[in-house]
Amino acid sequence: MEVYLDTAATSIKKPDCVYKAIDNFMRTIGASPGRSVHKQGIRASRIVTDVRDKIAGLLGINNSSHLIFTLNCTEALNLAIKGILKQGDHVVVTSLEHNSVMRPLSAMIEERDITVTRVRSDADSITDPDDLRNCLRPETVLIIMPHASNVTGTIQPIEECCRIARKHGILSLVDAAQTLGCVSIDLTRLPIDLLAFSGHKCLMGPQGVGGLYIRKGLCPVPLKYGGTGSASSEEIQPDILPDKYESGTPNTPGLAGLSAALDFIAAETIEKIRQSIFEIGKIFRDGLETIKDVVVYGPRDMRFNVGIFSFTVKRRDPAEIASELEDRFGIMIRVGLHCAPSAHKIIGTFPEGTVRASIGYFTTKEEVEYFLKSLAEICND
Amino acid sequence: MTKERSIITFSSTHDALQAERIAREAGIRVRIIPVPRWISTDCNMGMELPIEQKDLLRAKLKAKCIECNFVNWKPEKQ
Repeated sequence: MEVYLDTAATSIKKPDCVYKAIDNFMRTIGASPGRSVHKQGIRASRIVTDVRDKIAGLLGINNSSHLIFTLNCTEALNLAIKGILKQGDHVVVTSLEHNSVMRPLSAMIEERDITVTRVRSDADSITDPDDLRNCLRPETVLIIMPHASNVTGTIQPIEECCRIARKHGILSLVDAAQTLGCVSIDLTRLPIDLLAFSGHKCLMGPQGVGGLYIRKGLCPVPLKYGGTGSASSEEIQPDILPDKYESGTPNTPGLAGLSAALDFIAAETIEKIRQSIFEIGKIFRDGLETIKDVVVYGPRDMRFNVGIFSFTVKRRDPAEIASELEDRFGIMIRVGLHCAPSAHKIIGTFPEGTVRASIGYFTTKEEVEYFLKSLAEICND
Repeated sequence: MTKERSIITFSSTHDALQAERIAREAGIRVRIIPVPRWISTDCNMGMELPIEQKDLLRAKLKAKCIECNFVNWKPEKQ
């Protein structure tokens, strides 16, 4: 038996329609979108426009031109961070940030002399909005937080935190890499200025697609410049959305796959997906608690967990546990720091890291029970 | 004799395809075309439609804040 429990890295099983849509695009369309106005070029352009509209619908955005497609969530975060921050700015982040946030910020510390304050989350990796408020300064221009930690799966109080930022005239950037597609995000209600997402995790699209929502009125500096198929008589970047931020031929096969995945999600509904992860996750989390010598991190209450579980086994190297799970039982999980060293400092697992198992919509109860039985065998040896 | 038609130009492909969707939902028959170079050298993608439906579509696009330009065109004159 093979069991994949690494959805937080990428979802490996996709809805059938995703494979078919990519194949169909490659075989029957294949043209570059937004350039040539022939039959196939128009069909390719429609795919990009349709998928943009679908994401906008998922997020509750009226004008889909404010959704920018990127290679992945990391590129979206880079665009937001490098495009917004100026010399001497102050930024508040949580202690849960992925290196896709911390590394561009570190570069900005060097290049633009920015300063960064980290809000310490509690033992369950929950960030207290009052602590965030206390970190704000007159020169604070941006707060950044993950919607859910990629280490412990803890869902963050983004609404309260972004509301505090908005009240103080500070911009908010939410890293929704682990949530869009399995947790409802309604931007008609949430005061979020910038939201970065991944297309290949909870959204179940292929790798190579992500995106950034940019609130109307914000004009980050582009990450890249080049051909857009628009304003072609000018040699300067057009000030038109989404073209301003989407130079070069996009990953249209990937976007075709993402479009099909969004149809699947719309038919299933986010509520049903969330409920499934809640129920399977509860079996997972409760089961982990019963295994000898296993220490689990993050909240036990699945209302605050997105389906990511970090744990260690007393007196055992996490890498050794991962190897045994795969070699003896065919279970694929991830081990280490998960590109978020600061989050491990909070839960006391730095630098060894944890074993991280993450579930998705296609994870079954039988797979979870098999995992728990296998881990118990390893721990009892 | 060729009938006069209306050509719409847009600043981006995104806007052109949004306009196509709005037209379709309103039951207005439009056709995506490469914009004649004498009209514009910006976005390649434009639309043409019967001139009598121009005002209806213009109002629909204005309501959705789609920026565009309408140009009357009688092919035989070109």
